[in-house]
Amino acid sequence: MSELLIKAELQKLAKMLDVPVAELAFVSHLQLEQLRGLRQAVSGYLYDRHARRFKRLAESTRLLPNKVVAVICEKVIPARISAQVTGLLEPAAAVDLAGRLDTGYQADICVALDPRRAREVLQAMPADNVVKVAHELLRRREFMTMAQFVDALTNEQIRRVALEMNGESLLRVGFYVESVERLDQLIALLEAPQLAQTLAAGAEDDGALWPEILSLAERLGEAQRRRLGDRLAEASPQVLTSLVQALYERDLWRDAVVLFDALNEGAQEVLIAALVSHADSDSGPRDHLHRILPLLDDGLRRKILLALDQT
Amino acid sequence: MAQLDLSAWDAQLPGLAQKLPDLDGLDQADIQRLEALILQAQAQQAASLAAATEESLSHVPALLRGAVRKLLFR
Repeated sequence: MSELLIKAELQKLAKMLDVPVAELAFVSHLQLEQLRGLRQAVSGYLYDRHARRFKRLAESTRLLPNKVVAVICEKVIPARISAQVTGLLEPAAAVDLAGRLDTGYQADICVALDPRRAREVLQAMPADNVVKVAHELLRRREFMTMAQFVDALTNEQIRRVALEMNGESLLRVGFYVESVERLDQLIALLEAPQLAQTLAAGAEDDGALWPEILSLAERLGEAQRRRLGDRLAEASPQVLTSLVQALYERDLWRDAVVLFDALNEGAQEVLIAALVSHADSDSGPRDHLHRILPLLDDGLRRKILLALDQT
Repeated sequence: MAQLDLSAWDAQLPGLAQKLPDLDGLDQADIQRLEALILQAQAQQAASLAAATEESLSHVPALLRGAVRKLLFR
């Protein structure tokens, strides 16, 4: 299992415990499933222990018109309390109330909410409202928060939000999405140009987001991984150069194997040319390339060896 | 690896040890550090919610505050 997935899980655990990731070094050798199970158990524990305390507050919202409740919420009730109450509301009442609340306040609630405890309410929300709040969360760069909602929202809600996201935000959110099935569905919803945008985003900022792309590729099913590979075949030379540089400089070879295996013949040729060209631009990098060869399928390995021999 | 002893958790984090996955790979010192971090997060969360509750109640006239607190937050 990729180190990148462990890294994402450690970041989520650190956020939940409100500590720097470095403080979790003592659990970083655990398996991904152990870390995920630990985070889910602690998150549920911390959230549920206050549920009963706010039940009366949730019930009291039925005694007043939602118009009044909305005013009271925004003026008097901090969003972290509303987040505790959200999952306890009737979905229809919650939808009506959300329609009266300021988008910023709703975004504040999302940041403090455990979406698994409010799935019914969230799925009842009109897609237009979900998109408005998602815009605000994107503006705040709350990517980890948004990823938690991917598991809780409907496909239609996710599709509408995904349409509004650029390549960078799709990658940053995708990095933290937990369910591989939902991540696969999310990518399947993207049109080819938007998927290509994610690769272009990888090349920006000195290739900082290639780890996110490779982590995405690792978690996708075969069909979506091939779609991503097909886009790589059509990518600009700058994108390919950026990928190859990232592989060498960030030592992402092991993480890249699944993406390599998913490439069609045309894409393989483009990538091999870029890899070999980079290998020959310096005296050392061929060693990196040789290290990865045993991990590749026979066909791709032979093609790379052949290309190296010819140079 | 020796069986981890999570019995101490029941005093301050009742019920949580039973919900945890198998944490094979951690030693007893790691378990104690983990417990300390969870207790710290729990204390922060409780303090944050308590402060938020007080902030809400500050909008209620002082004479009614106790009754509202009892009615809505207990």
